[in-house]
Amino acid sequence: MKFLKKIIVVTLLLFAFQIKALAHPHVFIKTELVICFDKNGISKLKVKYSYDKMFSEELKQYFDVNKNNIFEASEIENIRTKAFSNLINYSYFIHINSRGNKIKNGNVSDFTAIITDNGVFYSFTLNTKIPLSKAAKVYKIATYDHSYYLDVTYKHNSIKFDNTSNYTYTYKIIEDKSQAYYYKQIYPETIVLSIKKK
Amino acid sequence: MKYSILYILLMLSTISLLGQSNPIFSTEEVFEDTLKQTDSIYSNKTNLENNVVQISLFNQFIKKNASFQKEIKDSLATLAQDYNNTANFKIIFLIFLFAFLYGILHSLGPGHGKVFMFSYILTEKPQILKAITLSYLIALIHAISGLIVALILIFVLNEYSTSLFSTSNTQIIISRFSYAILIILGLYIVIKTILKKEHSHNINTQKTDRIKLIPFITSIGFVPCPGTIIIVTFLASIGLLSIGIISVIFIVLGMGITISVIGLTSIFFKKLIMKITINKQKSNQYIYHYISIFGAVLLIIFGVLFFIGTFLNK
Repeated sequence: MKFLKKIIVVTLLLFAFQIKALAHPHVFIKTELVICFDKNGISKLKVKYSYDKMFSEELKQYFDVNKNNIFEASEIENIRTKAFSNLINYSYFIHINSRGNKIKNGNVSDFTAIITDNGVFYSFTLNTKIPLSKAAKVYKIATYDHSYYLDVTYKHNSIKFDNTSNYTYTYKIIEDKSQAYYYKQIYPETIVLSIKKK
Repeated sequence: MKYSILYILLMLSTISLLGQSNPIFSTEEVFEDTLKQTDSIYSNKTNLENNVVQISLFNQFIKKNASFQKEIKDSLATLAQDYNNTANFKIIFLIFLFAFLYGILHSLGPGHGKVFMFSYILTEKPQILKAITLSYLIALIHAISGLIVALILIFVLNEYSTSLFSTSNTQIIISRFSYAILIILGLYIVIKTILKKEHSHNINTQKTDRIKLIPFITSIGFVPCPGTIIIVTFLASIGLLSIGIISVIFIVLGMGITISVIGLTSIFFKKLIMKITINKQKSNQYIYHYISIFGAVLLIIFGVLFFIGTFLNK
């Protein structure tokens, strides 16, 4: 019986480590988020991705055509078309839900890409509108790439709120088991935001 | 032998430029996210005062590993740029050291067929040297196929970006093909083991069977390693192609260690079972056959699960 238990434990451990033969993160993104409010509720999300150095170099090699270490307007447009727009298929790595109901992201505006000493970053606005009332509600805002080609996590202490004077809110960041992805193995970092109108 | 060569050629033909998809570059049709979410955490997570990241053990491992990989890649990028400014032996040594560490950590994460390795080794005679050799062969082929893709990108397409390395459909087709082969291989081993049990009672007469070894190594290893591609194309892009190619050797050495550990665990597992069952006066050879069949069945089950997963995991 003891032996059988050992077999079960080992088998379970193996299942825990099982996966398909591809994929693991190859690119790394730190996400920064500013949640903006207006009189109706959440009006938009300002998002910033910071890439790891190696992928940043790749973006520079590919898109900084004149090699002046600056992305000019035409180069940014090229990035937007070739190395950003497809992320609509990935919800721009920002997944929002309330009590399990997915909230679709709004359209994207203000996209830009910038080269810094620490690498390349993208910034853009997701015009996601979420009406709020005096009844407290909980929203989850997770950041992840479900294919796990990219490891996407929140940058520490980078979650900010803008124009919140009409609202009462608390939040924390958890690893959300209920949104486990990539063969249910990885729990995305998720902001759990509890909010209501004053 | 003739069939082995034909098989390898067939598998080689599936090494397209386009292994796994980078979402940043892919050009896919828009699909609806099919996340199935349940409301489960609100009731027991009432304290929203502390804005802290809560960590679970397994995720901590995955995330720590990802975090170390990021650090290593960042260090590699910095070192490579330093080398371009002031070339010296110490920097080269560090580049290779980090490539080696990257190999270990990279293969510790999801992927690289570790579960298939474990299952397959169960079907074999428990030989340490053989498990290590097999592990390094898988690592070598995995990295070399990545290197081939990187060199094609650089020399044929004159492309230092992995942006071309990005067609989901190709990845899915390769994956399905690999898993189908593993399923067939599992079935083959089950039948062969049962037949052997009926016709031969001497386990020492079992010889290495290339018919099952070659499909196994190739189906696991011939998936081009995106990590290798990214590192080689990056180093080539800053004029360090030769260092990039040598780095692949160190990546292989690192990956081989991780995969070997899985193989050796499998051997330990098999020996443990045999040892315990012998104490209970059961026939050694019967147990050996049953464990082999168990390994092959695992191979089939995982093959089926992953095969189905390619349809579900979008």
